[in-house]
Amino acid sequence: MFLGFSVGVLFLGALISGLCYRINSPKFHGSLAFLTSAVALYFLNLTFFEFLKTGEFGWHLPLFRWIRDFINLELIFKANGLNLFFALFGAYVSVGINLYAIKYMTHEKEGFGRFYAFIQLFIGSYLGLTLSENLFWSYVFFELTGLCSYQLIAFWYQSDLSSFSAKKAFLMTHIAGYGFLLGALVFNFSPDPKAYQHLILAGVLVAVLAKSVQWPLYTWIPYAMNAPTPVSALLHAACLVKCGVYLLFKFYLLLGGFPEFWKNLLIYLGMFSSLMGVLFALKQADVKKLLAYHTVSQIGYMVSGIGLGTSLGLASSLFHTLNHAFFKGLLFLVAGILQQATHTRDLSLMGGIASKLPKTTVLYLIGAASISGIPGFNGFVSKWMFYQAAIEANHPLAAALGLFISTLTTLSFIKVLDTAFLGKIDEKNKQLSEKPFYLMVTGGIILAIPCVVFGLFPQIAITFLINPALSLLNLQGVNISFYQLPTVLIGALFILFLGLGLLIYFTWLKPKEIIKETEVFKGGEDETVFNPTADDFVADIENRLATFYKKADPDQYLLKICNFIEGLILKVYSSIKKLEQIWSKPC
Amino acid sequence: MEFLKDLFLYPGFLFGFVLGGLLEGFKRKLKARMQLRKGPPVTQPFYDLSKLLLKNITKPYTISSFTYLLIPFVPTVGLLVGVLLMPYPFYQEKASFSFDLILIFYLTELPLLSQIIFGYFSKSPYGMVGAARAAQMFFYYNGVFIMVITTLCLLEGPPYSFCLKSIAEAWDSLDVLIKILTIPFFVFSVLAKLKLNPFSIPDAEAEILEGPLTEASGVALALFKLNYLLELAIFGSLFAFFYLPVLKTSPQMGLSLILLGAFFLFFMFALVENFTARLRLSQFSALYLKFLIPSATLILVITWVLKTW
Repeated sequence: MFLGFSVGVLFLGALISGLCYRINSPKFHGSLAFLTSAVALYFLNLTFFEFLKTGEFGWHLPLFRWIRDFINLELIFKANGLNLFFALFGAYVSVGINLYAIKYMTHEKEGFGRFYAFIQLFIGSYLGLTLSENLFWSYVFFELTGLCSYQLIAFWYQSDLSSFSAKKAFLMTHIAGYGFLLGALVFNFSPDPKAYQHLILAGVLVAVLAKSVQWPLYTWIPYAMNAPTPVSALLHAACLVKCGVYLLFKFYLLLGGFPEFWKNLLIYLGMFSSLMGVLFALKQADVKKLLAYHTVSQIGYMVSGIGLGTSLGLASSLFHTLNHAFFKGLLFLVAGILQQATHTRDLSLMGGIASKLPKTTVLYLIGAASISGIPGFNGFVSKWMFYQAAIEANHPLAAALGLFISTLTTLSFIKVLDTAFLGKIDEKNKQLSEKPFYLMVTGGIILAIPCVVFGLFPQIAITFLINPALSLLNLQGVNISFYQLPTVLIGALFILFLGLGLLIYFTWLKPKEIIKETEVFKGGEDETVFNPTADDFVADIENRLATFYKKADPDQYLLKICNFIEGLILKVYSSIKKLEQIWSKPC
Repeated sequence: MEFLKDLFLYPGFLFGFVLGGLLEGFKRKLKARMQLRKGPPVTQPFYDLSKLLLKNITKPYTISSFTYLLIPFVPTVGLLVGVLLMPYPFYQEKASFSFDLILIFYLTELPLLSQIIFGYFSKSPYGMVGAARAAQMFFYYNGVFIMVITTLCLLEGPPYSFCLKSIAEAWDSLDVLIKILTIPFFVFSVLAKLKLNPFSIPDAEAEILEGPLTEASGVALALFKLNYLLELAIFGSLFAFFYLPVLKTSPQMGLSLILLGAFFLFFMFALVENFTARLRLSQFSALYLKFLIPSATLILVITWVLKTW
């Protein structure tokens, strides 16, 4: 029953926000969305505890019974390891982001009812998709998430760019979504789905590539950054882009695994997308676009992990999905604070704001360390599992690429840290204060906590969230013991040494006043020459890869294909017209 | 008690610090001898460090003194953990966790990352330029280093793993051949990692003083130097584990081989440093992107093919 409630409460919230659209209060709609998402999370937690106690169970709503002999259209929600895994982190992240959005949206003048109606509808649809057992309803919810994404990207629909971005995102994901419909129909209607598994997987993969922003269908996501930041955090980092990953797991379960060809394809497609994503991210000076490209890159690890097909591979994929929702959601929330504080998304126009926004800086450091895979943070554990799984499964190239991509990710986030948070502060940012952003920072803290907790104690997530999903997929549970990965040792040593360091600092260095202050040595040089901003931080790499950047953008090729199809349709149309003219001529 | 002994004496802090210091002193002395100079005593790095520890800290206005010291301190802890993760003789027999190369790889990245952060944090114009250069070099040499360690991971198995102990124990004839092939790539990537000539681009003294560390002084600079010495110890030991049969002999012999391997590596470094001048960043990137990364990848693919069929 709670399963139904968890989705229902969000749809109800969406309905109330939609009906009360005349109440032009960000606090009213924001609080409602926060409340409904918190209630949904509460119901899901109750469901989860029941699941841990009793095992799988379901809830169903009998719908369209008259057509049952032909197709089953009953709404069935099922509590199993996989569904609850995806639903739980989605609900948790949405609570943090909705709290953040209450403050973020106060900068707007109108459209709150519309915004929060679609936000709640989106979360409801995402939960519906992840909990639904019936593929027909899965497809409906899948498309609903796309529709919400369209509406939310077009929040500032008067702007041509927002409108174009929304259309692009919607068209790409919707058209590719027919692949899922094809896969679902073939699976439902064929007596032996295994016999058609290649057709099913081909259809599903197209949908996955577009929804989970993998090469070559990722090009909508940089444009989607024209949406308000809570949308980017919730849809384009945490949940919407995970729908494709969920589909892969779902069909892995339905088909009882993937054939070898598809596994290999997923491994290298994932890694290739990941490499593309990180290389494009590296050259971005727009903080949200940089994060968007990192979404492409990080999801590559998840897709590739599924392709590995081993327990550890799938576990790494699941764990990275979970971790990515937290750290990428957090990084987007930080980006939103930066944007509102400095009124720009351009990193080159920021600089030195760490002293003005210290709590935001700490949140950024946690998010950046997690996504970069610094030991002690959650990203390290899931990436470590991926490298280990790849080398164990005899895919050393995937392991090496994964490691290389991770170092590029680190470089990319060092660039943001150095150019936005450190360095020289801009005159216009000298009066900045963090006080107005405290509620947004609180939203960030909700997402930062699991980054640290799962980094030091990954066993919690593995035992309670990942192993139940693996067992559903007929795979052995994994056990990341302290001996394989001495995370507790690392944690203990870090705490011991940091404690020792603090002791030395506060008892010796500070009281003895041996720290003197002076001007920075400039040697009479022109400071503008010696001031690498985000634009020129990686100038040599950009120059070196200039040809790659020019030729590797898939949009130019997609456009050519679209133009070719358009030309073909026009030719067919003109031929039909000519034929009509010939026939209509009197003999 | 045993754990504290591991942590502070062997193979932890004292061993790493002394080995790193001696390697640096040895390299300096050797370089001087090759240039027909007398050079400083081998123990000079220890004197330098002790002097720095006793000096006042002079930091720029407006930056937090706590963060000023924290930035170099975090990698020191990371590197100490890194030393403990290596299967040193007399230690590996009692350590119960796997000697994970990925973890060592990540921990050895911390010193450079801290320097890149420090360069911008100190607001020094030279620091920022040096930091940007170091960051870009990070992109190139890691490509080579990762290919080398992945290649070496294929030597023992299946099942393959990133366990340093397995690599150190792989000594079939094919393994030896592959190990020999990877030596130049290992040397090139470690030279760049340690910012030694011809890759001392971020610290190019004549142009940008000390690069990212221009504003580091006193204890902060001492910590950076200590990190450097620990890095030397780690990379010297890694060379020995990869390319000498350290774990195939008695622990006493193994330890001697580690010292021999590490000093041999630094002999090579001294030689390369003496024979080469500093490259420009564009020359460095061309060398790595056009030659070293593709060649290292090719060796990985060849090893994979040989090991699979």
